[in-house]
Amino acid sequence: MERLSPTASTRRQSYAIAWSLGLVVACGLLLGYYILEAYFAPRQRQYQLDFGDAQWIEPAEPGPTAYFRTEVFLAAPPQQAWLEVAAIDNFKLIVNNHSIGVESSVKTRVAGIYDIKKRLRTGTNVIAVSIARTSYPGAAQLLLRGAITQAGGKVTNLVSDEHWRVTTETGIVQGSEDWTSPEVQDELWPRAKRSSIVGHSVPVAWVDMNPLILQLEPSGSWLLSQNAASEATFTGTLQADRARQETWLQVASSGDLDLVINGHLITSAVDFSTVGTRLPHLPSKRDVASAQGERPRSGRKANARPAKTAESTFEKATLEAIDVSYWIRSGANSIVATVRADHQPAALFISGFLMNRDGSPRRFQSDSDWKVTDRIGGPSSKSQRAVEFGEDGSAPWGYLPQEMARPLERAGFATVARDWIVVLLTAAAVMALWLLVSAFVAKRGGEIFRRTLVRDALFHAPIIVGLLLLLLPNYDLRFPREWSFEPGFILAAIVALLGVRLFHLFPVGELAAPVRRRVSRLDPDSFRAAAPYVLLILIMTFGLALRLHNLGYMSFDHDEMGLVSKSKGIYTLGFPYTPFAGEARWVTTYEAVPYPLALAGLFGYSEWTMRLPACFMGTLSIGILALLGRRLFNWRTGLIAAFVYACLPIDIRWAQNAFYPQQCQFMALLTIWLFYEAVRVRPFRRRYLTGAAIGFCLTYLSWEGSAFLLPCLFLGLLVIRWGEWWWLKEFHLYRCLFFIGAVVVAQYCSRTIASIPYLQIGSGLSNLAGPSLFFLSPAYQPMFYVNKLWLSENHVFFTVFALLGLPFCWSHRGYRYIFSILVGLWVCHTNFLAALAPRYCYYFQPLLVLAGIGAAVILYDRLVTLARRESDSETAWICAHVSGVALILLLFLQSNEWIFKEYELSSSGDTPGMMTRMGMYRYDYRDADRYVKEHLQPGDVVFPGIPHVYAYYAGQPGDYFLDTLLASKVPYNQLLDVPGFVDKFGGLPVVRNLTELKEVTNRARRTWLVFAPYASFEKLNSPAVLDFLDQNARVVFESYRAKVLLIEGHSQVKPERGKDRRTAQVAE
Amino acid sequence: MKIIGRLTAWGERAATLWASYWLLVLASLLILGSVLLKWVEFPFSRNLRGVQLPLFHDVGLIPHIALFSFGVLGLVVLIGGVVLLRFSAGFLGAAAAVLLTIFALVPAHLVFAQPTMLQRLTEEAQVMPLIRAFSKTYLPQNYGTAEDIPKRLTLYSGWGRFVAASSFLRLGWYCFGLGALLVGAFALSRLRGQRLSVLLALVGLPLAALAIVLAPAMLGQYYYTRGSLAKAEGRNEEAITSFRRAMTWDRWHSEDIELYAMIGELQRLSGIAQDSPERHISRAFRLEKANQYEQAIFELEGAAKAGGALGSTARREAARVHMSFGLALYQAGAVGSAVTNWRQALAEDPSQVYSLPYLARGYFDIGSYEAAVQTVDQVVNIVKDHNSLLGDVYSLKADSYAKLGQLAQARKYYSLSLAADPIENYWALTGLVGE
Repeated sequence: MERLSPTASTRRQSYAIAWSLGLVVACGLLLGYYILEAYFAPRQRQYQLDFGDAQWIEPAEPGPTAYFRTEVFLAAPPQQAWLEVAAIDNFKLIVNNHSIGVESSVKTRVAGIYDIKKRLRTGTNVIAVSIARTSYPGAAQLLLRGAITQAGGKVTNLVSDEHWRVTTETGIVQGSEDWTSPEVQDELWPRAKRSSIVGHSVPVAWVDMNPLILQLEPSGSWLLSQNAASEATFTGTLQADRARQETWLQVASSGDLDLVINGHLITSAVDFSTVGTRLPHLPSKRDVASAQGERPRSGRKANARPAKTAESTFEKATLEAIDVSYWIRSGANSIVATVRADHQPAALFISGFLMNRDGSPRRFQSDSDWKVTDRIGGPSSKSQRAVEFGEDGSAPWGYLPQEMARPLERAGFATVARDWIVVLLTAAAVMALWLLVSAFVAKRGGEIFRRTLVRDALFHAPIIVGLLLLLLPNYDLRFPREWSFEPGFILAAIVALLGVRLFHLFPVGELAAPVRRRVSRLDPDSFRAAAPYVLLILIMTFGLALRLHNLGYMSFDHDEMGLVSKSKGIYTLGFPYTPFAGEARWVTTYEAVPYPLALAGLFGYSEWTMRLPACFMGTLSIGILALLGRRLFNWRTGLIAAFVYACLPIDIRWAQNAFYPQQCQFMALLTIWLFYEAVRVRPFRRRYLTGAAIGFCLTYLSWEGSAFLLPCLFLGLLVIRWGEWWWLKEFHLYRCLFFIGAVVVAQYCSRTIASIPYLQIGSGLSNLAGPSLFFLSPAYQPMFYVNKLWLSENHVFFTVFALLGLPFCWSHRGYRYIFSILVGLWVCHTNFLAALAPRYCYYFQPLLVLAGIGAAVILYDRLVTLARRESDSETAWICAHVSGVALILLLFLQSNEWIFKEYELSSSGDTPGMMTRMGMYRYDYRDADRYVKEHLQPGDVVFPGIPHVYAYYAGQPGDYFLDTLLASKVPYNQLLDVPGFVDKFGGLPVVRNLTELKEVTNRARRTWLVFAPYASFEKLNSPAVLDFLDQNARVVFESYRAKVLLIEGHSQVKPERGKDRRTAQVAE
Repeated sequence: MKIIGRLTAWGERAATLWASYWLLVLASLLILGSVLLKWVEFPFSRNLRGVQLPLFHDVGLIPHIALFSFGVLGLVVLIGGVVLLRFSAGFLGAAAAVLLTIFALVPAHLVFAQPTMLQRLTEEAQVMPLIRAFSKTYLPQNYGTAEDIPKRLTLYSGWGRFVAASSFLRLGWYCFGLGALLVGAFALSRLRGQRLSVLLALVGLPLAALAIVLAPAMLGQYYYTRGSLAKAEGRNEEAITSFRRAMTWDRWHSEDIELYAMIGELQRLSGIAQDSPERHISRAFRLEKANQYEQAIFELEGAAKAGGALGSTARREAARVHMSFGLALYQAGAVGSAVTNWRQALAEDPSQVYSLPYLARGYFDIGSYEAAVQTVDQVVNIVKDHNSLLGDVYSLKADSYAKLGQLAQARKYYSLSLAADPIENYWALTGLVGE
């Protein structure tokens, strides 16, 4: 039996109490948060749309982009019209050339419901939806349902079916009309076909607006005061069956409106977001919007006839929908609305409904029962009956457009204080319960109070993890945003909190004993020694399978292609280079990356072979992470981290990419592991130190930015050898440093020498020579890697646990080592590298996984130890294990997409980071380039988006490179017949402005432009050029983030436009 | 050998010191470094360092190092704590509590002690899109990415303004806070038996100081909410009274022109205070909405005669309307009149420096290249910390020199423009190499 000194025993006891207190407080705070969200904050309700008989439809010729359209003829203007739309990844709904709504969420079937009555007109109307998928595989699909009620009551229903027309590229349209124009004859368009998913249940994202708002026709009347005063206060009453009954209120007024329900200000005429600042208001909102990022475009869209707008002396009124449930009391509720209008009578229109328990709506509206006071504030003001002067649709406003009201920001000192009070009071109540129950049990059973305290605290652990697990669906778009903040869950948590106390009375230790015995039987040394390796091999095999799946599906991107083309130089001169201006231009960055590519190239050049090295390095990284985890923590940590890493989307995606990040990460992990092996014993192990030095050089030569690893390894050495300085006398350390220094200096010299002979203009990453005091620059973004690493998709809980682990894991050497390197690298990249990119933190991303899992496993172990030593209870032991396993499960579930799709669990919401989701296509250069190649005719000119990628896929170079803003770095080639600027990869002459572009297109028979990638193409070209392309080019092919534009020159015998692509191809 | 021996001895001493005081050294370095770093980021004008953030007076357009500044105070407290450490770690704990209090008080200072600074910050944050719109519409293009300054601008509540002010605070302030926390941690690690009291001081002192500073704002918020509710229920006179009380408690409201306009409107509706300054302001708002700028300015000048906070607020508003009027005239092609209005805006309120970039362009357009150069010099001094703006004004200066035939100077300023803003700065690039 272990005997402790009195001091150690006291310390252990206080340690146990501190842990118990921590558990109870955490449980209380979490429960308080649930209570706050469920009862003390306005709910953000979400709804599933009912699409009725509508069917998922897609183009007959499957493609990632689709342009759907249908025509609707109306004999009279609509009084009510709504559309429900769902599509995969994203959609844009356009009615009669007006953009109505845009939704976007990669790998989700997004949905929206829209009021379109103001965009419809008598005659033929075009309803169009464009979809441009970025995820694969599969075609762009649409689901749509709607209804249009014409004046007179005739209802036209609209559903997506095979009668819709669809095309995969807009170039099908004849003439200069936009594809959404009513002038377009869509009879030539192919019909849509039913998708194969019809009949299957597919989850569709939730929407914020109750569909009944648009589906029920607004009832009620416009109200006036009897004197038709320009200011009036209207008062009405609303009967509710229960408090917080779901209630939607739609309100419109002829002037500024202040609305109060039961004494709470709901909307105000004052725009609270800008109170206190007055600005010059001359430039229109459109100008301001465009200054903030939109580029105004002329061309077809700009030339489209603007919608006819009726100028009226009356201000436009909008029926704004507000969810007022939070302020509704049981019984009578007072609604007070004050309208202040300029030069016209104050008028009010209210229409709303309450949801009954059976899901049916009970309606209420403004009518003559409402009271009005029109001499506001005056001594003689008295309440009168309001005057009804017309229903919805009455002049001068007509049928009102409907939309959601902008939510009022309610955060104030009182709100913040209330929130904290709720959470802290709950925590206090949970603590009080803990103390009471523990005291009671101790007294009743004659036990030591401390033991019952610890035991009772351990019962809280499964509830904490359960509440954390319940949070996960809130960040999955297939669930409503506040799914877990239901009273039912809170009740269950409270019942569980009370119920677990029964374990004091009825211990289930008998159940645990056989489990323990069985575990102890699985103890032979041979099994224990071999099992981790067997498991590791299984995990690595699984990881390899995940990485090999769809390895060659995607086209090379421009980054990959840059390295692939350089690797070919190894076969001729022995080092990677590309020819430029008759000379070999050797690689000046990523020097070590082309060699594995050249090795793989021995088996032929294809996407599959070129990505194989990354795939293998990704798989080997799984093994290294496991070994690192084992050495720093234990086998459990290593294996769990390896398994999580094997399934983590970002790690799978980069292992399927031939660019440098995977190799850099692999080398960095190897270096970190070898360095730890070297320094963990005294004296340092030289072989490992040498290995670490070589590993560092290879990491550095994979990407120079990884040089920060060196100071961070030094930091790691400091923290694991805290207070020890003997290692300063290790001569081999200096030898390794010298070797590293020589490699770094040589690389820097090579880079400088390589760039000297070239005159080039423009800007690029190669301007970045080395580290700098970036934190002094205006471009400094301290939160960049916080968002891209710590709080990015699938990383949030690792970050939470890595940080939570600080107080109780810091004494653990392995944790200290990993955490200090991780934080060191983050600080260095944030503050000293004047370039920011999500991929720059990829090489140390596994450290975050390892730190999070290491902390979670240590926490698990502490709970089990606490249960074993202090609680004197088998039940507590079971609770500790259940909590620990659930904790690991939580980390696994949030780290990948297999079960939950935690797309919103990141600081940037549902905006996917680079390579963070499986099945996201980058740029489809391959199909775009091959399309051009297949359709190329003598006399045609090609502007490839990325010249070297086009040269690879088309098997021939392009003709010109378009860089009208000089945004891409272009060198000068003096050896050309007409010396000039050329692109740095393919050596194509650069077209620098619209005049040069016109000159080229006029001379050419036809001009092909590979408009890929979209973003880069728009960035690199001036608005004048983009406008020219808008007006003169048509899109003949579209794929993932890639388009092919065709400009037909004067010498071209124009093919009949409007034929589908296959017909055109046959004709050619 | 002697030197090596001495070096070894020094090394050992340094190692011992480091082992004992590493936390304090790190904290001190953080605090020392922080006072030289950026604390407050202005979207348009110069940023403030710790030693430039004054305790008592308004910072002005061009910041200067101030003896009575947050940074200097922090340094003095730190040095005091370190010196007194030899007597007791409790002194260092007290110093840490004061440092944390300074840290916590900075956003409160911006919001409640010097609301004009938050006014300026929010005004600059909102004026920038307009300057960009102007540049995009009327100037040769610089396609580089504009600076993105993270901010939160919910200003109607005291808490919202507190959060808004915090959103403009930057690395220096954070380093200072981290340093203060580490000093506290070091003091706690050195204390035996008195930890609770120091811990209480570390938490309690900043909270108490915040509570004292925030109390008037909370009262102001209470009256403002009451006023809004009364207004929404049509009780105009009660609303006016509450809004006036809110102004008494919170200086932010007393400098809020919209609140004055709202009071004027309520007075009009209630038929009271016929010729009050607030009614002038309310009338000016309506006139400006109808694009009757000159009459609006006239009304505001009438209101400005009232003096006090209302008078200065009305004067500032008059300057702003001059600027709007100038933009309207510029858009209509009356560049000369636009220039006159922008100059009047500056004369009315020298803090309306946002019209300077317009003014420089206006001078260029009317052929006053020398004046354009001089105005650019003024702007450069103000926007020094903002690459995109700086690049544009250098390019404008270069254009002016080119017009004056001083090509060497033009080349110099195009180069400076490129140096300041090298990414996609098409204006400067084509100025140098031609289209």
